[in-house]
Amino acid sequence: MTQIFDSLLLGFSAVLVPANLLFCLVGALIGTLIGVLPGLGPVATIAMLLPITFGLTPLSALIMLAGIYYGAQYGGSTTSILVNLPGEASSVVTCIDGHRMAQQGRAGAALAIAALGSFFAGSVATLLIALFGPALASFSQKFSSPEYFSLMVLGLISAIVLAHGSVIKAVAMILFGLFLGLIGMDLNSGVSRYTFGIPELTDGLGFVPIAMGVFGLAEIILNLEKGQDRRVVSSKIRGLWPSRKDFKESWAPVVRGTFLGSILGVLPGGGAVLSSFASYTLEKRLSKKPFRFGQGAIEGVAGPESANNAASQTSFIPLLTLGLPSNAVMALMMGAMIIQGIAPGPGVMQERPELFWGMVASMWIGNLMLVVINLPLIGLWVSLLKVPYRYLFPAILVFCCIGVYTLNNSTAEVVIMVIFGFLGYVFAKTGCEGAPFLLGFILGPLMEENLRRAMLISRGDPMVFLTRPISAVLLTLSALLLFLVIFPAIRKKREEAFQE
Amino acid sequence: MVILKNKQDFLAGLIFVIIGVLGILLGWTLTVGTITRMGPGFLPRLLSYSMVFIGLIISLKSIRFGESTLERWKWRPMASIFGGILAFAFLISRGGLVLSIILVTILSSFGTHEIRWHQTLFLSTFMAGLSVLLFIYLLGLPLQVWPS
Repeated sequence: MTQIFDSLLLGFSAVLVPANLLFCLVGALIGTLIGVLPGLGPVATIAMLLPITFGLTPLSALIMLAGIYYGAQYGGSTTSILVNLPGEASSVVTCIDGHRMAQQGRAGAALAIAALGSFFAGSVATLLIALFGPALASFSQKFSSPEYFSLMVLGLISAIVLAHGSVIKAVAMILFGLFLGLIGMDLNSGVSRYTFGIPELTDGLGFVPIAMGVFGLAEIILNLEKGQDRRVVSSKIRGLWPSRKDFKESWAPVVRGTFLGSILGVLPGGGAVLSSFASYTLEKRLSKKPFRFGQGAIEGVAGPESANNAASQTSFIPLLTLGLPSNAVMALMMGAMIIQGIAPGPGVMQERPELFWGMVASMWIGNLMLVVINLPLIGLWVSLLKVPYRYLFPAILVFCCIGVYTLNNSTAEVVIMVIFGFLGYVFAKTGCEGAPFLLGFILGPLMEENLRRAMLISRGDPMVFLTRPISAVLLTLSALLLFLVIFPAIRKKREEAFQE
Repeated sequence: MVILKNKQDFLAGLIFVIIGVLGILLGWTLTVGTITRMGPGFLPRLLSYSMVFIGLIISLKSIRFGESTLERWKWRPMASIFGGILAFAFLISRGGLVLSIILVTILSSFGTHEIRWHQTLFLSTFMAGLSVLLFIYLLGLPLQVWPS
């Protein structure tokens, strides 16, 4: 316990210098901004800003990028509540009851509960990372290739289970992602795979152009097709402070949302979006008066908003302790770490303790800043919402172009972004999700490497995955999950849950 | 004559079959190897076959089950945005940052009817100025500002 205290002290002393505090604030501000603005998510933003972090110290860079991710969860609720448009995918469910509350003149209460709930969730999640991070990191040092491979299998299977839409299309998208991840030079044999003699492809497809194409460009085109400028139907915000009754009704959902989000955040393929949906469903089930949901129930805001913030923070755990990115944002964080010369994984905590604990400490400070940014300054963000989309989307495009180009000063990557923008559009039109695809793409090369190494060590005996205890447990869990998806009764329940 | 009701899934399945077949054909020369010593082609081949298989299931299933329609594709936003970015890509190394940004802003503005000409001009100048300030002066990125 004292050790954790000492470590946290180390972390705070690393963060509490002007430069790092500044970047924490900048990250939180940018995060809130993109959270508020619909059609611009953390994946595309972090990808755009990656070149900017080259010149920063590793800690400043990671503090800022992390701030963008959890800051977006705060900002997303503002748009959902005031405009009935989710500013962020993870705030979709907040629209249901949050906007209803705004129409009833209780926007202030909804915004305040969302921010305070998020703050509570963020603080608890930070503490959880501090408590379980070191233990998991030392546990993961027992891992070798078979364990890593089985862990990634579990990750992909849970991504399938947790996908919103069709299960089989999610499987296909994962396979496609894995396949694209293998493009480039094969490290074992030096043979070029699917590079067509294009030098830029030798090192494999870049993650940033793909993420920006699939999530950034496709989204812009789809928004333009709908062709409607959003209107801020913001009623006057009267009184930010929730009533005593509001607090009484929302503390339990906040606590439940926090723990649900913390757990789901750690799961690969989980993260913020899923946990807000899960929390909403849970609150509706537990409520004595479920009919109130959809009519402006404060529980429907408090739970999901806490859950998405908790999840966005605990999703750092697998990256920092195992070196495995669990979602697209974490893959970008991993990219940022590698650019800075840090190998993500269990080693970070021992070799660069100030980095690990500094990030943990910055999350708590960032959450504190976000409450201030979001509550007293709410008027500022509302006025930003009035910027019409016709001005916004060309600006986003400019930043996408510069961001992708400056990564490697490569025009080819800009063209790749366009190709994946088109693919992302086709996926959206055919009801295929981008998230499992991206997870597959991230894990593809890692899985291949570990599978081949495991097969080499065991001399081609696939039983190695079952004779090693940790690997066997992970694979059993995967099989159980797969069984859940296939088993029809449970599948029906799952579909119901996503319907709601 | 069967009327195809689930158009989305049918197309999705077809796309995966095509991707899988392409994966097999384009990777034909890669050594597959054995399970003990996997060659560079082992996993790509396996994944390609799996995509063909799953794509077929999605398409065949869609003939009998489900119902969905494909929305009409609008080419205008797509053409203007992709055109703008491609113009940026080809201009940036020779034409410099300012011209490239002005071009990408103007071209992408064709994607919507809601923006007026003078607004586009103002926006493109503003974005060019902002980017030079932010990326050149503040961040010091090694980008060319004007045409060489």
